[in-house]
Amino acid sequence: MSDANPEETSSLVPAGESRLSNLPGGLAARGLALASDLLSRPIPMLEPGEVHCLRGHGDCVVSVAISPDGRYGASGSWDRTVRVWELAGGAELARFEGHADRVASVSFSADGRRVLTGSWDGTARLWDWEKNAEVTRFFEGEGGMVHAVALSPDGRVAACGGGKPYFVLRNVLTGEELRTCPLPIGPVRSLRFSPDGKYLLSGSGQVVVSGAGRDNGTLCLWEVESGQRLWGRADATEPVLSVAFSSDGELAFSSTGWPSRSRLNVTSVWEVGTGTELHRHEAHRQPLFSGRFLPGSRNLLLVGRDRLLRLWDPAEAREIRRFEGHQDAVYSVAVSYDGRYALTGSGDRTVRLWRLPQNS
Amino acid sequence: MDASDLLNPTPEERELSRLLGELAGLEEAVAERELRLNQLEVELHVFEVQYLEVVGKRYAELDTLLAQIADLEAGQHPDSAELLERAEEAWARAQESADALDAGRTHPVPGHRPPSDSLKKLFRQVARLIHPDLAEDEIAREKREVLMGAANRAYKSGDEEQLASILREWEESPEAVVGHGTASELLRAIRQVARMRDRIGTLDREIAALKESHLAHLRARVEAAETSGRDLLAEMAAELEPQLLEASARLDTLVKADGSP
Repeated sequence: MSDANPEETSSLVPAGESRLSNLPGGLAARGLALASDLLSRPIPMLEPGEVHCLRGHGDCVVSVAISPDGRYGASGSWDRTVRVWELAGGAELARFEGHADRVASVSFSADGRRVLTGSWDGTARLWDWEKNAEVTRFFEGEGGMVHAVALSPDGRVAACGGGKPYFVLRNVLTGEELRTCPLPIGPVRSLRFSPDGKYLLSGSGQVVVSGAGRDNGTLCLWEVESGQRLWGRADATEPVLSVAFSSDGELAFSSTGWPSRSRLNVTSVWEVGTGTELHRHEAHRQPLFSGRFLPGSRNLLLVGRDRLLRLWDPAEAREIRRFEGHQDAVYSVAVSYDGRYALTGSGDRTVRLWRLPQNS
Repeated sequence: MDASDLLNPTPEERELSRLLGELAGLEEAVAERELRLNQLEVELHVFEVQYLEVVGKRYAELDTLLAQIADLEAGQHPDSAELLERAEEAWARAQESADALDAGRTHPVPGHRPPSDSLKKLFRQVARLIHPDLAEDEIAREKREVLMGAANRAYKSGDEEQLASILREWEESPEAVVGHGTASELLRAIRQVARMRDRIGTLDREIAALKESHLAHLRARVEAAETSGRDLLAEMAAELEPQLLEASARLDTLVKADGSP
């Protein structure tokens, strides 16, 4: 009798070689070979590019947003609807058909379950898309279109602006007007809260058909709590169409231009603390309609009439990468919190999700 | 025997007490190794069940498809001994994979909780007392082996009560009573020390073999990948999926060409 002990090992393991050491059919050996092969490959890096083309809108998509957790996208269109998309799979999850005119602007709540929408019908509405129910309605009866809406990062304050030369800060839950912030020139084109919710950028401006050189675009920084304007620039010759904060809140972005003509299109990066213009670029031949900073970066994502999504280094005035796919002007861009994905809305009636290159 | 005898032990008595001391240390070492081996087996088995469910299942499916394909191919060329042999090999492999899957599923999954300290302590106590290598002769050895097997099972299923009752049964049995006489005790102790040393060597080899096993290496890789946020088992399953689809499509084509349902 050998020192191998049959009874002792028979409870789990047959005599001699352990059953576990090498599964029959080479199942363990084959698995080990496959695992080693998988581990020896470079870590799967997905190629940047278009992930989904989301169809369904019947007209231009002029505003898009990504929920703070990166799971959902919202799009507002001239077809008067707002849609919510599941970004991973590209499915349309909800559709809001409450607006009586073109939808101009959309913004997600902090929990991603609500979307604030602004429309040419003169209203801004808070919409619970999971329940497909309208929660609150602002601006009703004040006249003029709503062009820009924004929800503060804590979800408590809504900013709405439109045809009039002012925008309003409201308590989201009660609809109570907190502040009215007057601007030298309307209409209000773009509103963005800073990442900490303490400040707000506004972009406004009017199109002047003749008399070039007249000041008609404004960019202002506001303190949300007091409603005070901290600094402002009112010397842009074209309307300020888009404003944005960098993720650290230190930089501001603005772009001026006009959709229908190739006039002076300027993108600028500003120091938020001082209002100093750090970078200025006038060479974009086509108007840029929207821009966002990449999270954790000083580079920008830009979209415009040239149908491109551009990754742009403003310090070097250099295009890092371009993404082609849209068949018409691109009006809006949003970026996920982690900088991995961008969402764009276009005149080709589609919303597209793009995987962005990492480490840029 | 007067007091001086106690104070001045004979050389045999001194040797015996030295051997008994060594034996106690060796018993402790054996029990410790038994525990480690058991622990390793339990952990590997938990991993095995998970692995078979996610990856092994797909290998088994793939092997069955490949065997069916080889079968049909052999059927198309009845004269080819090579194809026939290949089909037989494919079936043998498919059978083995299916067996592995069954074996993994039928063995009870031990509780996922780690064994309690009291269970470990009890097992160590049992292993020290009734280890078969402490037996005097073959009959006694067999009896100890049966008990040790039962103790192993009880430990693996975490059955503390069962372990305690094995211990009680042993303590009440005549085996537990040790014979007298320095000479016979000395002889017994020498034999036991030798056996225990052998046993330690065997256990060490078994533990090393288990640690060097394919399954253990696979588990180590899966766990390492997990710490860097990768689900290696899922990646493996995803890697096999296209092969399954391809084999399945190939089989469909062959079945259609074969004209039989």
